Amino acid sequence: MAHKGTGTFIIQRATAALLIPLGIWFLVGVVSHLGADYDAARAWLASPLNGVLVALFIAIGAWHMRIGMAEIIADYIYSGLRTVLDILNWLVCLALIAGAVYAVYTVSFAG
Amino acid sequence: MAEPAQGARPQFERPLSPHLQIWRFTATMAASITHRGTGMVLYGGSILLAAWALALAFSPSLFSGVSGFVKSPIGFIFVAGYVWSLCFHLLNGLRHLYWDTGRGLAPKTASMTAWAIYGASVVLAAVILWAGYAGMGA
Repeated sequence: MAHKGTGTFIIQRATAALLIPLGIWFLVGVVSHLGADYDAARAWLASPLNGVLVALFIAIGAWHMRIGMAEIIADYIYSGLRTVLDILNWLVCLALIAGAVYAVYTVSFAG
Repeated sequence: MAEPAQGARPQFERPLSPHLQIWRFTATMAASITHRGTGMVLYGGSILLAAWALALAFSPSLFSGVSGFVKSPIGFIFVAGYVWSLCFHLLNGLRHLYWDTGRGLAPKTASMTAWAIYGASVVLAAVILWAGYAGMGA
């Protein structure tokens, strides 16, 4: 990851800025549906706006948290384990993006 | 790109990050540690959130299990922890973005905003949780 510091710094800030409105929307929208039953929750997620925003929140969040977790790993892990954790961190974040998009797609179009 | 030997501590790379126990307590240091801690909570929470979306798409029975858990006392602690973490990380993230413009960095100001964010995040989380759980009605 050498010589990529500035780009990473900018992406961390750009995703942070995007997550501000998405995070506020998420707190209001999702928490107000905490008690929803299956059909109500599905109907809510099937609405195009909600589906797109949930997918964006998870995907941009995954990008942002990959950078944050990589920073923690770089700060505290100094063995060969670091490479393993870095790869694991990538895989978790990619899986999150894939899972969220697949779930929203299924609810929106395949239900 | 010179790679250090596997398992050896690199001698000329980054300095070791200061460890938690050497700091005298200040609001700014606490907010910094809390920012990192809440980030880690949100990392775990995002995985659960994606699992919730997948359950919603593929498994009604798993989804009703999740809903039941959310309403239980232990579930409430999980949800409250996640919601407060998101509130804190979001508000303190605004503080970080403000710092990035070169402002708000004087020790007194930074300390004051640290306390303010602890207070505001607790109030915001309480309001959201109250609305969310009151809205359940059941």
